Amino acid sequence: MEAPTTPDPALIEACRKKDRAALETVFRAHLPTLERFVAHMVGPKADIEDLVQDTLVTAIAAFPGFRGDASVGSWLNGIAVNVVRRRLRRPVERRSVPLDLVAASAEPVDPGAPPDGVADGRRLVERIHAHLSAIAPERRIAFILHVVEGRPIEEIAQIVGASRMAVKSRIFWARRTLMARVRRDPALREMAPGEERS
Amino acid sequence: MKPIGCGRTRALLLARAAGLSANERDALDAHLQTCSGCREQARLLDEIVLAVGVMPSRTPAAREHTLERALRRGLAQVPEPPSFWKSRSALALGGVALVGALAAAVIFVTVSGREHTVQPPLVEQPSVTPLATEPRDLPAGVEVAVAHARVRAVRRASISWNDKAATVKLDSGAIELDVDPALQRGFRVITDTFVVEVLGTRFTVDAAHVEVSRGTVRVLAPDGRVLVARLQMGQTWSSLQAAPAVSEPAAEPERRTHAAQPADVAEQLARARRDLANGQVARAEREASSILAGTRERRQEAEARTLLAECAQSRGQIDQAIAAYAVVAERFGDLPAGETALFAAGRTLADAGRRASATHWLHRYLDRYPSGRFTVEAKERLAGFEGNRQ
Repeated sequence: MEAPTTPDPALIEACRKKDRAALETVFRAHLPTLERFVAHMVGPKADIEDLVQDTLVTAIAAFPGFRGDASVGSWLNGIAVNVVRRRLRRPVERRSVPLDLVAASAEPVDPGAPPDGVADGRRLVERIHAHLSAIAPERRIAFILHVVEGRPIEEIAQIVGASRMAVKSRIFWARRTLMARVRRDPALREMAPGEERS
Repeated sequence: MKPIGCGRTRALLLARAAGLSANERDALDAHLQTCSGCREQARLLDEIVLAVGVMPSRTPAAREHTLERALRRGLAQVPEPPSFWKSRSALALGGVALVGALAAAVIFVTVSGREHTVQPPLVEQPSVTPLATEPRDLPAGVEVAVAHARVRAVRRASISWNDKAATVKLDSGAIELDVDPALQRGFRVITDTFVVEVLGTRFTVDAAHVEVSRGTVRVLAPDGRVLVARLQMGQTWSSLQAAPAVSEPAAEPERRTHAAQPADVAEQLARARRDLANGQVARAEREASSILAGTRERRQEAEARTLLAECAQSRGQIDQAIAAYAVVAERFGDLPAGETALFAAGRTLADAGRRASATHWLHRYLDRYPSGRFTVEAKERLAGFEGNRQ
């Protein structure tokens, strides 16, 4: 998950002094990973850009305190988690229905059309994101970091500032909540015909 | 290898993306072979991971824009670039450099069935709430009047505006606009990815979307190519995956798209196939998207969607490709394209080394098409997985 380039100490020192060129170099190397990270958290919404911007702005202010204990990538992800966490805790201000969630789509959504469940990848994405939105932010973050992003428990614990046990517990409960919601959703029920047994 | 139970299996399923040891993989695969409940869990998790993993890919230009804006905000020492208002003439001359680089779109509003291309007029009356021409933050929920429009911050927004040009520039956040139709005057909203020109409608704009609450709009690229012919009340358009703009006159592509005859579509499909074969992925995508935006037969839609899946695959966007194949497989299961797509999903995942997911999709193929065109190959691939495991 780390960006391919590891900045040298001089570059980091320059970042601490808010050197624009150094910041640009470091951020550019981590930007694709950061965008993907944020997008996984909040879904493919337009405020991804705002959240990434806020992350970088916060990082610029926080760089003087960066000790280098963790990699820059993990440190940026930790900031992103805090930015996203604040965003997820805010009440929903507007309903956003992103359209082009799958490469196959080039058409506008017809809101009047009935959902056709798993047959429509776009609606599947929308529904799953809607169910994910219902999961408590801490659990959702841990679940996505581990199950979607593929980050090890140890790294997640470091990013979110929690114990390994807490992270595992959050992932477990997020899965339970998600599966239960999916089973109750008529359009998704056929994806999960079996009852949870554990 | 020690057998594992359902509880351990489900923990391993959750940890799959993070990587499993060879022993864990083998134990997981062995359990999945025998337990239908866990197989369903694996399938469901696959679908969820795919769905969450699918996201709009941003252009390098959009990414650079994010970086530039963040640096400017964070350092708060670099002056704003020359105002848009001062560079309007350059924009009008076709510069549109920034906007064009970001796959900008121009939106014209259709009111009562008539289409108006509105030139922003001079606005005589002052704003009710004066705004600065320098960017200013609007907290969520705050409403201001700009010329003959009400502008409300849906979420925290940074905007600047020019009264004379009846134009709002949105730097970040989201705003809702309600333009007074009675005055029959134009209004313009500029974002970094598109420009909205309106005459009497209500809509919401953020960095990448337009959501129409009243009226009907159509979305055009700056060069006039129609991206969405009609965006009606209640619908939303996203620029995040809009195809890059091409140089074509405004009305021509729309007519061609919507009046396309099946034979024309067949030619378009053939062109798209050739483009893809020649490595012209973006062009192939544009052709296929254009087909989906117009009149086409069901068979042609299936083929166009398959092409988009192949384009994603050729870009290495495996999850997007699988999602697209899945749509074709489910919607067009009665057509040859549906069968091909279902197998292609399994084959793509297998080639990407995602054995558990590939197994799932190949089994789905064999369940649905026990005597299909790819049955032998699907069985061979599954047997290959089995052989590697032993």
